[in-house]
Amino acid sequence: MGELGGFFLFISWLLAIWSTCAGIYAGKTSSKAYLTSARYATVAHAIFLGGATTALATLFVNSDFTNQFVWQFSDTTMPSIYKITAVWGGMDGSMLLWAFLLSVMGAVVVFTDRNIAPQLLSWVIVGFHTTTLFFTSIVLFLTNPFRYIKAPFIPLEGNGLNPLLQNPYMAAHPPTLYLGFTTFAVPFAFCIGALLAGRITSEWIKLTRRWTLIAWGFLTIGITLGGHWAYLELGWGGFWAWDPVENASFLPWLTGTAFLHSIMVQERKGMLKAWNVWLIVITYGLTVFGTFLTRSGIVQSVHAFASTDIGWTFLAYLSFLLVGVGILHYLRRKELSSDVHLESVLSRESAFLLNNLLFLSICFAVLWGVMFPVLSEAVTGKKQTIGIPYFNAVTIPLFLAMLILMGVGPLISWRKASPQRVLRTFVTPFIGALFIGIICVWAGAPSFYTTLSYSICYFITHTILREFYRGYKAQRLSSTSKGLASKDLTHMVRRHHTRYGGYLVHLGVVIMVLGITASMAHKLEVEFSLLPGQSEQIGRFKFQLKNLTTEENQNYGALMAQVELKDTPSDKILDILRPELRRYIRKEESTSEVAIRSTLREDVYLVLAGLDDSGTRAAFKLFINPLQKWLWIGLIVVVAGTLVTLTPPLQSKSSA
Amino acid sequence: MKRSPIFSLLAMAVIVFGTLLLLYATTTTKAEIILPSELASTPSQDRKRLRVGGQVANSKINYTLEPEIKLEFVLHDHNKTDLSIPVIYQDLKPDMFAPGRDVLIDGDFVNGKLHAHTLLTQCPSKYEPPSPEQHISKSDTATK
Repeated sequence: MGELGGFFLFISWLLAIWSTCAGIYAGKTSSKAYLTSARYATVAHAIFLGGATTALATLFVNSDFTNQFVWQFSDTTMPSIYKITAVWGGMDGSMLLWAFLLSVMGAVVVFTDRNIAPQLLSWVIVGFHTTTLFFTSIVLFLTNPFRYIKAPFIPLEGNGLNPLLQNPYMAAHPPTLYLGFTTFAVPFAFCIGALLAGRITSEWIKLTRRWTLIAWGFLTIGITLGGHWAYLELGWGGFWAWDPVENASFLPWLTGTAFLHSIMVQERKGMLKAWNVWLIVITYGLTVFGTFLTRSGIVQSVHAFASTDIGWTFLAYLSFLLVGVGILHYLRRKELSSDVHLESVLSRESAFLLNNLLFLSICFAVLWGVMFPVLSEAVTGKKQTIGIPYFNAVTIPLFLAMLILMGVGPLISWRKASPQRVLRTFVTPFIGALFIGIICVWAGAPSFYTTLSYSICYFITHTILREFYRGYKAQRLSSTSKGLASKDLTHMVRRHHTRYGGYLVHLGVVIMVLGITASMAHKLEVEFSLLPGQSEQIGRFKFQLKNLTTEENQNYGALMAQVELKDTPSDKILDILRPELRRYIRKEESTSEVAIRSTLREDVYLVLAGLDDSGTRAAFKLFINPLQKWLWIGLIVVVAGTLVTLTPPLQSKSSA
Repeated sequence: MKRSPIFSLLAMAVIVFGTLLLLYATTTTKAEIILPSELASTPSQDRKRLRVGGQVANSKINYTLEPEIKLEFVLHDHNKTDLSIPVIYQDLKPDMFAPGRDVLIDGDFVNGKLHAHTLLTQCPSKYEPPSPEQHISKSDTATK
């Protein structure tokens, strides 16, 4: 099976080379036959990489420890599902999965976009294979997962997968993130293709708008799932720690979100042609840079990936990309220059430009934070670092500014808005926001930022709901049928799917921001210890330790606590919390299984931290995180909004 | 059509504000990265805002819950046991904390003791494990 996998990998590599060459030839000569060949080779490339991935998964399922990678990341006691997810438990398999997902995107593109101008398609295929060829080469030559074990014996048992990774989120989080990264390669490929073909219109942007949205959606889901996983598993009561690995996925999200907005300006006004080219190149480049960051070992991270030379290969590839696009920009500088300028600061395009500026500022600030240790050592010779306080101090004000724009931008008209109208639009939500702000200060909000955040959230929600209401009223008036109200609403949303989908996404973001603000600003963190039978009163809750038990099973031994959670003063039993501490025998490790009682109001998050030396007293860590659940609910709304935007528009029967 | 001068001013303001914010946050929050051995060689010198990466020594780990929650251990450079420092962490012992494990500590070095505010054990999730030979002595083996 290992040989077969390696063989598939090699064939797919040859196919990537062939499609690149055939694509170049077809682009230069407009040869239909070569274009068809390049297309088929692209599809075959994906099929063979799929075969290689399946082969690796089979090796895992069969616990074939003649394979070095399988030995490293699995053992026979693991449930089958985690044997499959262990494929991306280490770097070699992750790279294979990445290359495979990338190739799938390519195969889908050459199928769905087969009817676009042949010359453009040829160059798009070439653009696409600048990514696949790199990743396939990495997998084949540097991180080949089909290597025999380097040992004189075949071990009967594998090294095993980290218990933290034996989790359902392992099945969802990394692949979603990779889907986000690889889907961004599609607009990137179209951009490169457009530059190579010399077709610098808004064509490539129109053709890839949906891809951009899908990529953004996957990345957003992937990042939030990662936060949710950390929240449930790591037992520190938080969801985001500004760790270099988290930042590595966040950087392309920031530029990708900027791109998502700025392409609207190009579509509408023909502005920002060169800007958009660079934004997508940077977004794709940052996914590559993230791999460099996490695999080169130049920054310290709790994830502690092995430092390998592969990181530098990624940096070299990134430099090649940037220089290549720089040359292409120079060659196409005439077509890329824009003769349309901004007319008024009170305009939609101005809001979009500021949005881009803020996103890039945040991106730069995060990048600065990640690279600071390296830069500091290079410049001053001193080893220094900056952590969570830095990231919060810089990004919170910038994100709040971003939020204000999110409330204002979508309601200002294109080109030039009249100040009177702008004033009329925003006066009521502004007064409402002011009112909320006063209430927050009166109620003793812990910081100015907290107050500001709640006020802005109100402001945005007000404007969005009003837009929905106005649209609905108009729809109701024009609607001839006396149908259900919900039918009219659906009709309205589907007819203007991009607008209302966008609003829905914004609303989801507001819900997430409320969750983040409340859980950060009003978080309560307490440590306490109890003997069985004892209880502790914290806030309006009472915790009573009912009993402590231990359990042994094949994989781990567990210490389990049963804690009764009561509401005071009513003394009503709310829940029985069952936090666990697991000791994995083979890995000589322990993990906490957190007990969480999650309601819309707050999360009661209880961690069993262990016993004292006498073995009778149990230590607990308690977090009370207000509105924590809203963060995850917000994500669902964001995804729903993205899906609405992606649905095909409803053709109106009455008028076009 | 001409460019809007107000927009340019606004954009400049954002950039200037962002830069100042970045510099301010950097200078007020930066921490010195230092090894346990460097601290151990100058035990009388107090230092604030440090990030110390090292390995938990195999000597005794003191962990009490009552009357106060406290974790005390000894830290040395990765795989170098000669120069070490005592560490005190007044919080619950984190998951996966054990002798020989690499940890990352943010804290202050006062009176020859490292007072940890945060203690992170390196997540071994994605580390590449050692070569199988080292494990073969432990695990059952079969001939090829």
